[in-house]
Parts: sequence; structure tokens; C-alpha cells
Amino acid sequence: MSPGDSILDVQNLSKFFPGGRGTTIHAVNDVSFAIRPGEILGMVGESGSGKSTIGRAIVGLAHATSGQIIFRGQDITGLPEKKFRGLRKDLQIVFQDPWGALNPRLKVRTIVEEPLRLHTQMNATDRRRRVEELAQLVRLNAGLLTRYPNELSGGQLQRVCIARALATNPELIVLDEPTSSLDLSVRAGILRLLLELRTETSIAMLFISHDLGTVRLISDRIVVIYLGRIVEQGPTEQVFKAPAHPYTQALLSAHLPPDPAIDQGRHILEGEIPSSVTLPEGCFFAGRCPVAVEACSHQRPTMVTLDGDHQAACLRISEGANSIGDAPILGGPKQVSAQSNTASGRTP
Amino acid sequence: MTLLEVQNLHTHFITRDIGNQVQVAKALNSVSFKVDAGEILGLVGETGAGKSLTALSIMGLLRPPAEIVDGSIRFEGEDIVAMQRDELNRIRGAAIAMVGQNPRGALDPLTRIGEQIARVARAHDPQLSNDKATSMAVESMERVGIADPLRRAQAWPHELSGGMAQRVLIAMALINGPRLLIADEPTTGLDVTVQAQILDLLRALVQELNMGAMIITHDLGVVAQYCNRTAVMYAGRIVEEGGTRSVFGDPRHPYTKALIGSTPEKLDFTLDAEVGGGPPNLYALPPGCHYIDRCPKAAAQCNSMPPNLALSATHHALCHFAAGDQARAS
Repeated sequence: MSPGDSILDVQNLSKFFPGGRGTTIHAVNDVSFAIRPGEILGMVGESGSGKSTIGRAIVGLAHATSGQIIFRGQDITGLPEKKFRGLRKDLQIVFQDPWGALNPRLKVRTIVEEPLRLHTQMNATDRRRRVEELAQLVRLNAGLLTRYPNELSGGQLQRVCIARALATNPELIVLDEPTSSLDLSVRAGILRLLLELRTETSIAMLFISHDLGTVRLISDRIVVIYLGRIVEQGPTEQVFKAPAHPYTQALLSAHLPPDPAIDQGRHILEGEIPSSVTLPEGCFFAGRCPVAVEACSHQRPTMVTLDGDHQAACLRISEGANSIGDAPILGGPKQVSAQSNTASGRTP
Repeated sequence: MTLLEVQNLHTHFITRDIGNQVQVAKALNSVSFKVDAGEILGLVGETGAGKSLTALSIMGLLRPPAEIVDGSIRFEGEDIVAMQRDELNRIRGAAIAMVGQNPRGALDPLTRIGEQIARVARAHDPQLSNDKATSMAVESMERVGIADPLRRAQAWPHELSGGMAQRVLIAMALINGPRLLIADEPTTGLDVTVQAQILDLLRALVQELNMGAMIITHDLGVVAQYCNRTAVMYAGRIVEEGGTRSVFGDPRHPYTKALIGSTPEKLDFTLDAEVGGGPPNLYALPPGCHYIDRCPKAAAQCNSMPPNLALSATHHALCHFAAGDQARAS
């Protein structure tokens, strides 16, 4: 894909944090992906995989250690805050915790209006009209605009956060786990809203989540991330139907379908995500991978194209030995090893 | 064999407002269920439904203003609501054990984990020597799949990953050989690959030790894949209970249907039906069905207390219309 086709191009992005005592936390390692206009890209990974850091780097809340972030053809990596501010009307973010994301001392109306004050020349009447329009867009009762955040439920608050992000008609919204802190029935309403917004506004979205069911439902394409590296990416249904990377396969098989009639053969991984302080030399997943061979532990795999847009980074794909389907199902109290479990990497 | 039998449990929060008027939040309203040896009961519901409060009521861990105002909780035939504190202390932590959510927060940060597990053994047997308690702790750690338990017993809580901390809590719960294990959101906050490890462990332990277990969760996937029976809670009541396959395959309460219908796997955006609104105000519950304000099927009779209709010997639903549409027409 040429950069011109995409609204956002992330190229070889890395982000390291100081880990104390001279150590370095490698939160994001050489990540490249693109988002096309009007597309919903799902980003899946476990905690500590660096997905939130990527989201924050895109909207300028974290500065990349290396690599480039290109938004609408413009390199925005390391742009000073003053220059970045002008971009924020086109580049918005919705956070996981709506209770913490809204100023408790401002009325909902003021919260939603704030980006309009900052980024547009609208007069008070226009702003008022726009706020009401936004409330309608996110299916928020206009009566709630005069309330304070503590008077609203979690689902309503998340709608306020989305309305605020939409206020300036952005071209890209980063949604960092927007539904994880919400109850199931409320979550369904937010997902429906996001899908409706996409058809109504053609906004591109980066949907970050650890919940596979949600990501499958909402995304056009997905990126699977492990220890700050992309292990697989491709159109959602292709990845879900034919996951190529052993980690993706294990992740999908560990997902518990809410239906007792579905009894899927599961492949439980041993151990947990290793520390991001000392990265493995070869494939990051080699230590837990059931099909890893000697070469995996010292050779970094590169992205292999499987089928059109579908790519995965695994050395064993070329020999056709990447499937963990025949590997023994691990688990049970006696077999579970805990070798690599201490001090699992926690990125800030 | 029935291990735990909860009958008509009412737990209320009784406070006084600024005008010194008594305010009662009816958090649990006539909750009844039982847990047999060798089975896992899943207690599922949304935030504020009363799931954790049910567990705290059983463990005798309610703090004022919460109190049990009515009902009985029988463990192996003995009513533990009526028990004195020291009698209860002999049972909890020993015959009934609980694993909480947020495993890292549940451990004392200043004590090595082996010692923390051993303490639980000594608390129930003061005669126990330190060496014996420590070797029991190591044994228990081995049983929950902690490799190299002798060395790990010397670890500090901050050195543990989330999944390992949860294993330590399970080891602690198991040390006195409990017959009933209550796990409150045991895998919330753990990653999916680790969640499967912990749940596999719990299930294997229940079978191996013939324990009864109750898993409290908001995750329907956990219930569907790991629990033999399912109880669905809404606003302090169990609105539907039955075998997991029966409840998921043929849900009869409108809330259960809506809950299952809201999972990403089942979401159908072509339908208009969606669970709007939130749970009712516990200070002013509706007189009849608690779900009346959100229910698409609500009718006049829903203002009266719905019957707990038996749909089979083991499947019940608290709804006037649970028997199906024919019953409604007749």
C-alpha cells in the first residue's frame, strides 16, 4: 500500500521507557501498520503488549523512541506540543475509563463543547447547536447535557467521551479499550453506536481491545500484537478463520465462547507474557511456542505474506509447520509449568 | 450431596439519611440456591446485581451497614447465619474457602508467600509446628501447578505475575482441605491465555478433590465453558437457574435472553431489541418483577411478584411468562 492510500501510516515505531536501575522497558518494538480512510482497525493483545502505548503515541501523548507516524502524509513523530495541537481536531482519542476521563466539575455540555472552543471559530449559538447535534449522534438524551458526570451511568459517560471526540469531525479516532469497563448490555449499545457512526461519518478508527469477540464484531482488519511486536495482521475474518501465527492460534483458542454448545479444542499456553525489559533474541514468542524450533530462539522472523493482505511473522510458515493444531493440549494442575512466570513484564 | 444451601437470603444496607430517616437498600432479595459436591455453580450478573454480596454473606464478611435481615445459609446442614463468630471462624478458611479478585492486592506485600500460605494452616491448627505448616504450604503450591515450589515459597508478592498470584491464592484456599470453594471473579484482570490456565486448574481441583465450587463472574464465556449449573442474578434476585446447557440453550427469563444476546458473538445489530437502561434503584425497588422497567414483554401482572416457574426439575425462571407464549395466552 502506498502512503497516499492510508490516513495513518505507522512505520517501524518503537517506544522504550526507562525501567529503573538502568534498565529499559521495550514497550513497542518496530511496529508498522496503516489505517485506511473510514476503516476500523482492531488491535488485539494481552496486557503489557504495548497496544495502549501505540495508541498514545499516535495522538501525541507519548513520544516515539524511533520510527515514524505519518498522518495524512505528514510526519507527526515528535512534533512539539504547540504544533501538535492544531492536529488534534482531526486526531482524537477515547479512553478506557470514562469516569476518569471527564472533568467532574464541568457539566456535560461544557465538556462536549470544549473542543469546539479550542479548535473552531464557532460562536456560542453554533456551538450550542453542534453540542445538541452531537448528543443526538451518540444517542445521549439532551436532558443529560446540563448534568455533571457523576450523575451519569458508565455507558452514558462513554457516550459523552465519544461525543467529545467527534465534536471537531476528526478523521481518525483511537479507541483504547472503550468498552472494557462497561457491563455487557451497555457494551452492546456502545458497539452499535460505533458501527452506526462509521456508516454515518466515515471516520477511521483504531479499536484497541483485548476482547476478541468485540474486535471480531467491529473491525475490518486486525493487528495482533505480542510483547510490543506485530505477529499477525490481516482482514478480520481471514485472521479469525485461518490464524497463521502460533500465538494468534493460541489466543483465539483460549477465548471462551459464551455458549456451552461450542466445545472448541483448546491449546493452553504455558506461562505468561515474558518481561519486556530483556527481550528474547529471536522470536518473542519462542519461549511459549509449541512449534518452536532451535532457529526460532535466535532468528527474528519477518512478516510473511500469506494471502493478499494477510501477513504473519513466523519462521515456520515457510515449512508449513506453523499450526499448533497437532501440538498436545497443555494445562491441568500437574502439567502447568511456571518457569517463566516471575516478574512478568509490566509496562507503564 | 448438598454442601451449601442458601434459602431466602435477604441482605440489606440499612443507613440513616441526613434527616435521620432510615434508608434501606435491598441488595439481596430472597436469594436461594444450592451447591453440591463435585459441581461448579456459576453466579453471573452485571455490576451491582449482588453477586459478590452473596459471597460475602456466606463468608460472614459483611460490614455495617450491610446485614442479613432474613433467610438461612446452611453449610452441611448447619445454619451459619446463626453461628457465633468463633464457630464461624472454625469453618471459614478451612471447610469453606474463598478466592477473591485482584490477587496481587489480596497478598500481604511484606511477607514471603510460603509464610502467608502457612499462616492460614496455623490459624486453624495452633498446635501445628512451623516446619509442618511450611511443608504443607509447599505441598499446596505444588498442587496448584507452581513449579519449583520450595524456591517459590521464598518469593515476595511483588515478584509474582497476576496469574502466579492467583495460583498462590488458590493454594492458600486449598491448604486446609476445603469442601466448598468460592471464587469471586477469579480471572477478571488476567489475560485470556492465563485465564484458561487458572480455570482449567479450578475445574481439575474440583474433580480431583470432589469439592463444591461457586464461581462468581460477569463473563458469560467463563460460565458457559466451566460451570455445570448457572444462576443469573439481577437486582438482588436470582432470576433464572438451571443446568448451563439448559439456561444457555433455552433461556426463559427476558433478562437472561438479553444478556446472552448482548455478547459480541450473539449481537445482532439488525434487531432493535437491546437492553437499555440500568438496574433499578435498590432503595425503591418495584413491587413485582425487578426487571419490569427494561423488559420488552412487561405486562400488567408484572407488577406482582413473579413465580419461580419450574421449566424442568432443575431449570427455574422468575418470570410470569417463563413457560412460553402459550401460557401467556391462556
